[in-house]
Amino acid sequence: MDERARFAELYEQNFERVYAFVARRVRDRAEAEDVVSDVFYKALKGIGGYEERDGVPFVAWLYRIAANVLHDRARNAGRETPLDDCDLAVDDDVERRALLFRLVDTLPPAQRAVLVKRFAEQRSIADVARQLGRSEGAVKQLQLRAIEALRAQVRGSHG
Amino acid sequence: MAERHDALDQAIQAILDGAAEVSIPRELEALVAIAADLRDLPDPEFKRRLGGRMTATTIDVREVTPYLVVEDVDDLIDFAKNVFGAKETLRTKGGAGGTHCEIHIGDSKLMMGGGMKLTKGPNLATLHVFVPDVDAAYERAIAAGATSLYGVVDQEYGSREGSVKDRWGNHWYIATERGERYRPKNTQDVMPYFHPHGAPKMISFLENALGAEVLEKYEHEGAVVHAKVRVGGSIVELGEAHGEWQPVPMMFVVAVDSADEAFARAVSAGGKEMMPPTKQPYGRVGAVEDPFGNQWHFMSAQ
Repeated sequence: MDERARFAELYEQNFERVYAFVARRVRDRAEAEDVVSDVFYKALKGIGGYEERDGVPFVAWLYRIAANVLHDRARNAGRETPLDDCDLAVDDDVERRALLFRLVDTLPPAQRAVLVKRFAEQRSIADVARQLGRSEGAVKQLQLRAIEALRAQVRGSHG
Repeated sequence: MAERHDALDQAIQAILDGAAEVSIPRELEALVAIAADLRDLPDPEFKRRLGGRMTATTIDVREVTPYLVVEDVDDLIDFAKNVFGAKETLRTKGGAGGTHCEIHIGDSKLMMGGGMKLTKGPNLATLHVFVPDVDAAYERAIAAGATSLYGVVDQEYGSREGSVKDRWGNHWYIATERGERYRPKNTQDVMPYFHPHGAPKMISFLENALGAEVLEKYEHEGAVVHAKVRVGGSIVELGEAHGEWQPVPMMFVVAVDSADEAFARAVSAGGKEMMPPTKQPYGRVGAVEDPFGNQWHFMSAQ
């Protein structure tokens, strides 16, 4: 498998983790997307260097890159309180949210569409209803069913 | 009492609005916790676009770096340090006595060379720089000998901007985005800014030769007023030449996987051969000039 194909696989496996790690450490969605892009571009540039190291999981290497990007941006923005190492610790919370984001993809299409529009696109219920051609009540029902399904799956994944 | 789906939606709306406290019926607590995590749900369209760019196999551009060349390059490096807080990361002397230097302004790299009598004109650049405090940077530029192209003003598109020309002739568009962040989405701290005659043709060249992707494009009466274009891991900007905003041909070093392939692609996209790929002490390099006079030096390890 060539380097790009391998990177594509690693991207697919780790995108949600990196996003979950970054999202809670920046101010808004636009900045989260900027940082996540930076992280993967830096990873792509440095993938040759990574392969030479032993024993460091790819995701840990990505978190380190993400931490550096966040540090640099805080410093360049002249923020008074740059992130410290404590803020950059990876915890179960990141894994839990990354799993949740992946589970959204496994929902029935109508439920998934409601969650994506409501949360990722931050649309109002009225907006979502208009876009999907359903009543607001029906959209709220789909939203409830989707989140119940996620809750059940998250519980399942924790035994 | 509200229906379950109504009560959950009220809590979700409060979460999305960033409310400090959300009142939750006890039986919905577990669901609201899931919803709170979903607040950061990534946009699948963003994931798809980024993944596409990451894994494109036909175009191998990694990074595009402006290269400025002037005789007294040490002074230009000092100018960048004094005005923009540039950090020097590499400085070498060539066999003929010339200087090659790499600096970083924020997250962006620039190369500078010279330090000797030039046999042909300098290579200048037009650069758009986002800084945390545009007024202070503009004042430092003037104090360092630059002349004003226009004073610092609030632009209607959201930036506070001033513009200067340094004593070598480089144009620096200095800006701070108004709002919480000092620069907007789809930018890096320093971006080359092209003013070509025929912006759509320039965009086509960037797409065909360098695998570029248009991130934003604003048109007025058929002319491209402003566009942001991603080239590998870098972002460049352009807008149709008009009035005093005229082309300044620039030189770039383009990091690629294969200088030979990139050279061939740039030539087939309309670039003029300047230097076929050859082995140099620092890698394999081939160069083309695009139809707008910009030089692209493709460099790979082998």
